[in-house]
Amino acid sequence: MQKAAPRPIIKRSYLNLDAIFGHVFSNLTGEPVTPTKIATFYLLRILFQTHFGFRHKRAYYKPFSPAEKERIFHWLYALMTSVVELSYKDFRIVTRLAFDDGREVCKNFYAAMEKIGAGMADVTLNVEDEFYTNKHPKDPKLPANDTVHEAMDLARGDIIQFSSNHSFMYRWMKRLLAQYTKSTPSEVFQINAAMKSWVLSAVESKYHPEFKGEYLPHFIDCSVRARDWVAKSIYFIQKNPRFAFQYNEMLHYTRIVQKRHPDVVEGFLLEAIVQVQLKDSSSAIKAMKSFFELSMFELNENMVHAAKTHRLAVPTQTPLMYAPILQARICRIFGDYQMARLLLHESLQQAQLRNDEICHQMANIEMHTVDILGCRALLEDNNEKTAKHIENERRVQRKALLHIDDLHGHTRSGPCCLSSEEDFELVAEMDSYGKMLMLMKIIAEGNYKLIYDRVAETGITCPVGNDLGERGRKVAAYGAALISSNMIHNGMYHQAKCAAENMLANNCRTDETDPFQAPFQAEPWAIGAVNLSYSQAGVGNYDAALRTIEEMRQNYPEELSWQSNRHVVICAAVINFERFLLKNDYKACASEVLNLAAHSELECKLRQALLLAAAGKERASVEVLEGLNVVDIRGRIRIHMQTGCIYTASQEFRKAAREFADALSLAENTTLKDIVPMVKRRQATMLMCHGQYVECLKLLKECNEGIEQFGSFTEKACYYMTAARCHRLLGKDPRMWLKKSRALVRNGQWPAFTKLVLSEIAALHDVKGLMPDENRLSQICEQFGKLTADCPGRCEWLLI
Amino acid sequence: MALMYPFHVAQPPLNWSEHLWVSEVSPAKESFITTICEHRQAQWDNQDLLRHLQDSVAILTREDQRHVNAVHAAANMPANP
Repeated sequence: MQKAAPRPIIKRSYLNLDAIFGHVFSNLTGEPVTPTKIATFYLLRILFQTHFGFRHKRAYYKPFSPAEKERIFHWLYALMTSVVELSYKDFRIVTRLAFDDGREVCKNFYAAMEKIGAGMADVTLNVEDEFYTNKHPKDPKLPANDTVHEAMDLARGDIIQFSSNHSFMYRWMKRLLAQYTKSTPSEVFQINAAMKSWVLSAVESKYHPEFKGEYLPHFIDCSVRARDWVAKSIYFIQKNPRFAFQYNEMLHYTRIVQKRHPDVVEGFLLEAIVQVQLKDSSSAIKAMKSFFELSMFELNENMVHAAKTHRLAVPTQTPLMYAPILQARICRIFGDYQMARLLLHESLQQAQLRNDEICHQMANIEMHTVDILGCRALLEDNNEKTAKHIENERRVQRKALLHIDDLHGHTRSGPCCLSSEEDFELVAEMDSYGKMLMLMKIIAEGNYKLIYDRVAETGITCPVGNDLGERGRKVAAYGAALISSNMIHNGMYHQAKCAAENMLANNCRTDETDPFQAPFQAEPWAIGAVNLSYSQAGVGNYDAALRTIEEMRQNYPEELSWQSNRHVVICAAVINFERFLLKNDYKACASEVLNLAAHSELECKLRQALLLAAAGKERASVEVLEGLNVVDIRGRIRIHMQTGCIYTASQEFRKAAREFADALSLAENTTLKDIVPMVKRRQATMLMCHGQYVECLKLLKECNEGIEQFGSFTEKACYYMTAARCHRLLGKDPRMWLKKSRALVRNGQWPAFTKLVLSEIAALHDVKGLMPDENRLSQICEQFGKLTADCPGRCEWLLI
Repeated sequence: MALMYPFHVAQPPLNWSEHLWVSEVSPAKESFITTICEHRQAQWDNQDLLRHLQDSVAILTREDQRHVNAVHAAANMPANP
């Protein structure tokens, strides 16, 4: 028969990304080949041969029983996961302790090692096929169809598989083999020389062939552990920076990872995050660009394709969509809003072109954050009015979030949400933040209607059943911080105290030894502590507020988390200003106000104007307030109220009445609960100073409930003083109000106000007063003298 | 009014390392990558051994495989009685 000619094979050639970029992903796995690991590999192979035999020959001894195997694997796992290099002497001690059970394991191990030490054999890191198949091959001396093979198989039916393909031991061995196969002949020679030297010496080896002699710490000496360390560092920076390395150390190790492990591209992401914490925006942007530049090729997820072509690198479109988002986030954090908006527009276009719901939603969240919050620590209705983004692309399956009502009717669709649970969780998290950003916008405009009831509280504190990546805890904490801030915003100090205490109590540690169970030390929890401090100061408990501030200073230092620390700085300045003002310490007040200048012009100027008025410079104070250009509705109301108070103190009642009327007309358009009673209280105080006592009492009756419910400590004090004086001047009994005033300041928070109350009581018990009482009057004068010695100066309650 | 408290607000605590742009190397994926590296290394070694032959000569077609199997089977047949 004539044989046909062989058919030609047409081979298709296409771009090999692995070859172009130097086989970066080949470095993805692999353990450093060190003498200790080589010895462990030899020990593993000898144990397998002791258990199984060698090729077609059965083992002389019985196979390992499950109990023996458990003990053997325990020792092998200890050797494989050891972070230190052992010397040959120590390794022999371990081997004798662990494996000397009469099966000649130690003898075979010593023979193999001594051969290498004497130069009679080279290091051979290979494994027979039987390690994978756990089946004996047929005896090559016998014919293939001989019936002895079946008899041999039946005779040793009790054979036990040595190890599973899914065990760590198997993966460790494959890592070592992968690294060994990548070694060049010169590296193989160095490995043999190092192994020989290790056997002949009595010390551990410092040999690391692929690192050019540099000794690396264990957690970054191979790509697998470096990637794990980077992931843990990113996790702890975001959750609790105390459990991460110091930032300078992380930068140092990150640069080592970037240099030694080109496949661990997450090192650049970690560098960007650390630079954000170190306030270096240009370095953070550069590192983020490097990360997404190196992320253009990702690991081949198609295992069939990779098994056929052996190609691990495939192109990916991820950097086109998410690189602008992360760079825009860095620009937003450091105040570069224009660049952030440009980048987010680019990302939104990419999301629309690719019909990617997650990218679209994430870019929208970032865009709203730029517009509503920016990089500020305080929520104010800012001056920047940006054009609304009208999305007319028909390919977008959901429209951009512009109002709170846009959330209704949102249906999650598209393959990206149905394919994986993590995608679903991410979209749910984005929806939550989007909703809360819409709430912040309404709150800043002053039109948010408070609906605080038990159902809302239950929903907020409902525990999350399956919290992937702790998203539920972060969303709940963000919502709790928002709620407590809004309570402070509306004068609900007791409710804010309960909400903040609940939030901080839930942030507890369940396991002292596990760093992954550590409490959160992030910005929402800092705000919870800040609002707790405000709620304590709002009811006059300044000692508790100071203790909370001191605890915050320890938990959120500047060098660990500057974004959380600025809240602590603002809170300390605000409360200390209030404390020093009530003690007539105007010099300390002036120094505290300077801490607010970097964060909020409105908060700083309001307090500076108050200090100027207290020093007697009413004209300069009014000029400072008139110079403020504020769009925030609450800020404008506060400016009107402050200006009216200054006019009241300087006896200009007509101007004060106009300011209070303007404030009242602005306040009635908002839903803020504490503003209208406060404006009316100030109107009443002005009327009292003007001599119109009947109208004053009428106004006091109108705002009594509001002041009692939403007024702060100082507000109630001024209310009681106005009521007491007005009652006395009208010839009525003011003792109820005087009693309330004295009870309010009994802890000595406001000594000047205590003196004011004493002077009122003295006027009441004077010989020409309503209730003359000479003994009572002398007691009052004695107390007044004692207080004057401690706190000179008069009470500036008209300015508050 | 100076003695009022500001509204503190946090940045949305968005994750820097989402699964969309940071891929995790699971143990299963690691074993798969190691296997791919071994196969590729074996293929390169075979190509090095056969570098002096053309691909059309070194790569066996299906007919050649069948012919080799037939020859091997004939060699194992016992002699004619």
